[in-house]
Amino acid sequence: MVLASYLMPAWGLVDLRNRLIEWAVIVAAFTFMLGIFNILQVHGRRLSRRRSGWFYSLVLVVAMALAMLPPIFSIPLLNVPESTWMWADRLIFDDIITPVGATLAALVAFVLLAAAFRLLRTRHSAEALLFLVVVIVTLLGTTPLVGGEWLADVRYWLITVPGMAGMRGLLLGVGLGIMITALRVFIGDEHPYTDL
Amino acid sequence: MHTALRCPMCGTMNPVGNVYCDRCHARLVPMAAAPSQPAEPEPDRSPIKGLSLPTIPPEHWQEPSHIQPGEPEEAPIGETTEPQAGDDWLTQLRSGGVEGPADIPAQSPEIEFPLEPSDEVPPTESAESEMEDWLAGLRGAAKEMPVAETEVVAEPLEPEPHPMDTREDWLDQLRGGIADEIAAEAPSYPPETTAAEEMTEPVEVEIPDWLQELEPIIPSPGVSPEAETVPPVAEEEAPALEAAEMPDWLAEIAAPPMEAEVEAPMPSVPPVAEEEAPALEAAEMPDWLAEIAAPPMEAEAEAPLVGEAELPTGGLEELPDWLKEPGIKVPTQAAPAVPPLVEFPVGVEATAPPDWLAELEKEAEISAPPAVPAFEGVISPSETQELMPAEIPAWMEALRPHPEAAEPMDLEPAEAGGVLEGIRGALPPLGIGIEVPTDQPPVEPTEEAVEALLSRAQLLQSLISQPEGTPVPVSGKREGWEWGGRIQHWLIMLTLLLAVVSTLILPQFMGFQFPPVAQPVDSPAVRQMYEVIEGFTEGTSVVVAFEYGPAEADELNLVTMPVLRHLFSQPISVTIVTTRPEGRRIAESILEEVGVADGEWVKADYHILGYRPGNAVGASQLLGQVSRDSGSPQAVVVLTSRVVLLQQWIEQTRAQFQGQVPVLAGLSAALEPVAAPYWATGSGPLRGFASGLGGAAAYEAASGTVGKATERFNTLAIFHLFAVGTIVLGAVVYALAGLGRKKS
Repeated sequence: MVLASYLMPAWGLVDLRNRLIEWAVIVAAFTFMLGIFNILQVHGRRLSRRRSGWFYSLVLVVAMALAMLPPIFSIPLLNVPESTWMWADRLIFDDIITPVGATLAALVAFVLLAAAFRLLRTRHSAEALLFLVVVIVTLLGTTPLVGGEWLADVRYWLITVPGMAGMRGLLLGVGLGIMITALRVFIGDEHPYTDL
Repeated sequence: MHTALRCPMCGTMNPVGNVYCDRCHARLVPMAAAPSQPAEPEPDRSPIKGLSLPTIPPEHWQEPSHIQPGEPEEAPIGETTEPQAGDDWLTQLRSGGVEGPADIPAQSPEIEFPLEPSDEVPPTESAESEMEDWLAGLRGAAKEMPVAETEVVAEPLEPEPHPMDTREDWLDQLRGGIADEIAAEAPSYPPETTAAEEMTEPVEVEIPDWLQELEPIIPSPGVSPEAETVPPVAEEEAPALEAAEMPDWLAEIAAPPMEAEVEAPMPSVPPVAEEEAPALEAAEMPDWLAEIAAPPMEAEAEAPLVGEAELPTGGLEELPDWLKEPGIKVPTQAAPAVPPLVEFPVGVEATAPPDWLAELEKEAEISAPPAVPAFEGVISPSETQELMPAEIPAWMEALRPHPEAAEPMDLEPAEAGGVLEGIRGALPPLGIGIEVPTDQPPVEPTEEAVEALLSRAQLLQSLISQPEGTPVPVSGKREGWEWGGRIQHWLIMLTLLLAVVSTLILPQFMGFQFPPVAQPVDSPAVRQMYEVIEGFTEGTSVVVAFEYGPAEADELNLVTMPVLRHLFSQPISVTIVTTRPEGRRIAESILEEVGVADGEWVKADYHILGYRPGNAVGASQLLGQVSRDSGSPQAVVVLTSRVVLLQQWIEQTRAQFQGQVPVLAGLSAALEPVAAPYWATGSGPLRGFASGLGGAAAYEAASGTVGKATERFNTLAIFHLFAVGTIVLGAVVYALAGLGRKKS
């Protein structure tokens, strides 16, 4: 009905679509809550039984509890000063979670650089050499040095021509696969992991 | 005189002394050997039981003995023969014979053949003539013979004696044995009237020569006078018949009635039955009599009873009762016990064998019994002497048990405990590493042992996982490789650290600035995005979707801030939405940092619509709600670092507004190749985008501002230079090393 409402926005299908979407949002919210309870159950069991990695489960549970405190303190009924829970919220979000995430993202750069450094050691081939050349051109083209603006044009060409072609082919394949899978689900030939 | 015995099975002629055929090993001599001497008259003889011998052939039976005088004679069942003249003598015999039982039951319906031949149904002429001749002869001989003591008494087999028992003595003597058989076979035999009542004056008939030659039969002294089955006539004639070398068949007939004692001596009967058998046959002996009178040897040679020829001969002293009965020839020699193949009726009274059987027994005792093999197929000891001893193979000889060599097994100690407690001879454990659960706590291995085990396991696994031909690394080289890898990692880390520290930290502590080594690139996508935002008019509604979290905030915040500054500098309405739980918090943080709350340059009003779960569904619901509240938006700005979120916003926006609402994006540097197809030089659903620090710096340059993106762009450029240098260094080093390895 949702697809039909997009194809034929008439006969009240649009309103029906909106109503169905709202119901889906409500169900998704409950799914989110269900996920939280499942995480607590899994890690709580591991923590109670002292299985391997129970310490990390303890850290996760504690972090979850701490992260839920500022929103709870913001409830007017609790009469917690705004500055207090705002400070807690900023501390947790801006001073702990954000830097930790940034650190994890920074490791990606280090790992990629180390892999590129030893690429020719493991793969001593022309394809590996070409890959390294492209990497160098891209890096230098993103931040072209003075006198090396032509590298930016090369980089632009690499992204808009061969890169775009490959990506378009990939996107088309993904779209076709999604369409075929949806058709198989409609006709009952596909059984997802939920077996519904 | 027979000189050989013909085998009834294969027809091979065997010597007379053989009991079994030489060719097929069939039994030649019946189980019950014929008596060599005539048995002495015995007072009590057991009637014949369990043996179905013909009593009176239908064609020869003509005497309606059961019919009382004066009563109408009944026609025989199934026959319409006319009464013949031969019936008269039998009738006369009946009237002149011994008085029989007063009460004679009527003719039994079970017996079909005529038992009471009447004058209206005379027998055939041939049978009539036969009856007349031999019987007349017997009658005459019986008259001449001295009347023997009619002490032969045979116990009545049945309560209804045969009417023939009441005939004259001479006939009773002849039919001594037969009467018992008849009485045994036909219990309901219609009793005939006593011979004494029916038989009239004995008819004098000339005795034939062959019958005159027969020896008289000596009646057994043991026969009780009460035996009505013993015709006294037969007893009188017995001596005369004996003197004339009576054939066997007749000897059986003339034998005294059966007695209870089997061991009673029987009168000797010369073994002339074989000689007389052909003579008797020539005289057209009746069938029923021929079967009885057949010589024992020939009768056995014809067709032995089923299984009787193969029955093992046991000792005489162990004869069962059923074997002592008439009709069953008991061997005189010992034979291995074999279960009889023919089962005789059970419950039969053990009585004395008939006369003829006793005679056979005596004959068997007199004659030298041949060697009786144990059983068919079993080789007798005499025969084994002729055979060559078999050679036992060595392996079979080794299996021969030697009781004397058997030594008592030394009892092993029994198991003390465990599952096998009490069992001896249990194999000791081989120590193959099977862990037996015990109550004792497991012994924890030492650290050295654990390390040794781990190293061994690792070595074994490496050896197994290595493909064929792979050289095994030397321990020294492996250590060098480890140091080389560590050095590489340290080198890379130092390079990055130098690049970052030198451009970001040192200038603040040392007060100098690195000169700009790179300039932001003027990207068409960034310029187009700028132009779209710049073209918003007053009252334009714009939706901004914060689709990233704290992990991507450090990069995307650099892209988001110039875009938000440009948006909030326009007199538009901004609706902030998100489909991620942390999106609202990120948005609030960015808005606070940008200073939209209390900045003068802020011309747009905004409101945070909030979070909607469900990803694409949430995006669709948000767009629908925005369109319901404030009309269709003029643009949708998506700030994300994930491809899926970018796609879902593009798809939902295009589906919701049929491509009338453009989509702008602030992306991470890694999404630039993914977003390029959607942008497609400005003709696609994505109207413009700014990706990464370079795009943010370019957007700031386009907007004429200097922000954090521009400040960090130089650092990024130096980092890129160091990275490129590291990559090139590694490529050169390993390429040369590879070439050198190939040459070596």
